[in-house]
Parts: sequence; structure tokens; C-alpha cells
Amino acid sequence: VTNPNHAGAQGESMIEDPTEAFGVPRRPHAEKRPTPIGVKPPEWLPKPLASGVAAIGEFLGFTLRSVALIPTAIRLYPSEIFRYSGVLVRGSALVVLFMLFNLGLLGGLLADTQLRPLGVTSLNGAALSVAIFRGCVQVILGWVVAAKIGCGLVTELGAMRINEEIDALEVMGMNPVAYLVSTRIAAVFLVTPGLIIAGYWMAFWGAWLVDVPFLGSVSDGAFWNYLFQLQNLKDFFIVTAWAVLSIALATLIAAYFGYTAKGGPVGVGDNTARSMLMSMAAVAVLATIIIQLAYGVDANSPIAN
Amino acid sequence: VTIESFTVWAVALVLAGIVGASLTSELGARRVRDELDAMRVMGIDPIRELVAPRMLSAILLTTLMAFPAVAISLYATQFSAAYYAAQNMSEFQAYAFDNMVPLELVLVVVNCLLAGLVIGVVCAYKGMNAGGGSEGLGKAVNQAVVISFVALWIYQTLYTGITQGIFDLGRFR
Repeated sequence: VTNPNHAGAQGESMIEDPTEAFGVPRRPHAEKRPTPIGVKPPEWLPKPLASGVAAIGEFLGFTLRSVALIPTAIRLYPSEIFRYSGVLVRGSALVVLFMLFNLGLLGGLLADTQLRPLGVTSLNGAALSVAIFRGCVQVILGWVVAAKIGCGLVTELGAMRINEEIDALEVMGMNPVAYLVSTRIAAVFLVTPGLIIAGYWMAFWGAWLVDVPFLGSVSDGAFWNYLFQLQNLKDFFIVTAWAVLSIALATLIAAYFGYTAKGGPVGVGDNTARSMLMSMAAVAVLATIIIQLAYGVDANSPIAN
Repeated sequence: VTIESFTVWAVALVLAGIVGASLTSELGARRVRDELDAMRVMGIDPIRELVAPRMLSAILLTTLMAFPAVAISLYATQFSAAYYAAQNMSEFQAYAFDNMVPLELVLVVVNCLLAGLVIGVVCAYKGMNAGGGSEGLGKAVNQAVVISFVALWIYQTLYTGITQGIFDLGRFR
């Protein structure tokens, strides 16, 4: 510590106020240091809105980074992708297919109760192919995936974050986003189309089970005939792309919340709950947007058109 | 008006996801931090002190959510009917209420109540029995949500089947 009296004795031309020597940072590039990591909330918005915008921006940045790193992940860590695909198929396929089978049961039942008074139960398959195939399956898939795959992902990544394994990866010179997040998203893209198509099949058979053998309201031939009359290849592609998008959205949200977990086990639990909330809302909003885009202009239906 | 059934089912699922997950993570966090054992040592029954009020509030929330959910789905459908099919509002509402009987609303409420019970029981059980640090807690939340989804689904199919079979509600008037 310099004695101010001593500095004064040296001459006041050097430092006018002796205490100022400690006020100025001694690092030469202190002014040029990068701004703190993270998205800065915009000042021109009201406070609660600004933090929301900043959070969305952070999520989008994370999403873009992890999607952009997918090629790197494919090049460097293909084994991780296949391992996680295996985990997905083993752990989640059964639950997802069972849920869609149940959805088919419920859809068949409701179609029958609605169409029976009108005397057109032979159209049960048609009701199913419009109401379930375009909309319900995608939203439900998104929710189930958010619950099953998403929660698992938040837990896994969150536990890694809490145990400082992600920092360790970074120290070892590996890109944790590429290794942990991009591989998982690539695995989801690899697995889900097959899962979705199997899911449609399960939903159709679920409805068939209720309508044809249980209630006997429609003959086998009429059910399949009307089911496939009211859908075509274009439908199939739209609907499958939609389902893949909802699942990818749910997975990305889960990965984001897992990656940014903090505050011990409790923080991981809280983040799991929050990721469920966000991905459910996001999947529902995405469904509303896509159904407008895909079927708002062209209903793509052979009847009433 | 099939909306009623689907509304309940969406409400139940969303609440299972959100309420259930937070319930499990809260109870599980207490479990992981040994707070439940501490309560037992102090002679307080954690099931009575922690689980029962949370279950009650979950059931109450799901039941009360039935009303705004039905109203919102009714108005949303009316809005889209007006937008796409140019059906005017009074016509839509007249048809909707012609085809709705009070019994149907009662069934919706009972349905939501039972769904809340399912969510509460599954999630509280999973939260109480979480273990093994942060990973165990996350796993418990995951399992709680998945199990309550599956349970809700099976329950919903059975409930719809039984009530539609008994009351014959799908009648157009």
C-alpha cells in the first residue's frame, strides 16, 4: 500500500489524486474485454418481457449451435449416436407405441359414439383418419416424448452438469455440445420416423380393435377402405414431418434445460419440471402453426371440397 | 360434442406433466435431502403433513380446471368454425348446447377428479421413494410422469368406454 503522503512528496504532476492510482484498472485491455457470456436482455422492453425474450434467444442460440454441430457429431462420435438410438428404442419405443395404441382405442370409441346416432358408423375409419392422423398423433407423440425421452435427457445432462462432468469434457478439449447434445438429437432424428410410422399403425389397429371386433359397428373392409380413402401420400409426408418436428422440439428443449441445470439435485428436479411445461406448450403451439400452414389453405380431402 | 372428452384428456395430461413433475421433484428433493427421515424422527408423519395436502390440492386443481378448459375449448372451436366454415356464433352455440346435457358436464368433472387422484397418487409415491442423488431424483420425476401418463391413458379409455356405454351420450338431438 502506497503512502499518500509519500506520493504527494514526489510531486503532484504525476498523479493528481493519489488514490486514483488504485481506481484505474491496471490491465491494459480492460475496456476491450468481451461482454459477459449469455444473451443481454433488450433494454427497450419492459423488464419481465425482456427477460423472456432473452431466455428465448438463449434457447435459440443453443438450438442453432447443437443443430449446426450435428455433422461434427456424425463425423466424430457415430458410436455415441448409435448407442443413444439403442437406448431410445429399448427404453421408449414400447411406451410410445402403447400410448398410440390407446389413443387409437379412445379415438375409435369416440368416433363410434358420435357417428352411431347418425347411422354412418361405416365412416368410423374416416373419422379416425382425419381426427387422429392429422393432429392428435403428433401432439400426443410430442407430449409422450417430452415425458419419456425429454425427462430422461434433462436428468442425464443435468446430473452431468451438477457433477461437473461437462466442464471436465471441456477441459479435455472435447466439445460437450457436440458430444452430448448433437449426438442425441441426431439419434432422435434417426429413430423417430420409424417410431412414428409404427405408431400410426398401432393407432389404426387400436381403433380397428374397438370398432370391428368389439362394437361390431363397421365391417373390416369398410373400416380400412374409408381409413385409406381419406388420406394420401401428401398427408403422410406432412404428418410425419410434423411429428418429427414436434419430437425434435421437445428433445431440444429438454437438452437445453438439462445442459443449463444448476443448483444441485433440487435444481435438476426443478429443471425437469420446467422442461416438461415448456415442451408441452411448445408442442401445442407448433401444432397450431403447422395445421394452419399445412391444411389451412388446402384441406387435402376427397370430400366436401 | 366430443370436445368434452378430449378436453379432459388434454387437461389431465398437461397437468400430469406439469403438476405431477413439480410435485415429484419437490417431494423427491425432500427425500434426497433426508428431510422426510428428519420429519419421521421428529414424530411428524410426512404422509399426513406433506403428501395429503399436495394430493388434495392436485385433485382440487384438476377438478376446477375442468370448467375453464371446457369453456376455452368450446370458444376456440367456435372461433375456428367461424373462421373456416363461416358458421355464425349463435348457430354454433345453439348446436353445441343442444347436444350437451348437464349429465355430461357432471361426468367431465368426475373424470377430472379421478384423473387428479391418479396424478397425485403416482407422483407422490414416486417422489416419496426417490433416491440416489440428483440422478435418482431426475429418474423418479421421469418415471412419475411416464407412469402417470400411461395410467391416465388406460383410465381414460376405460372411463370413456364405461360412461358412454351406460349413459348413451352421443345422441344428436
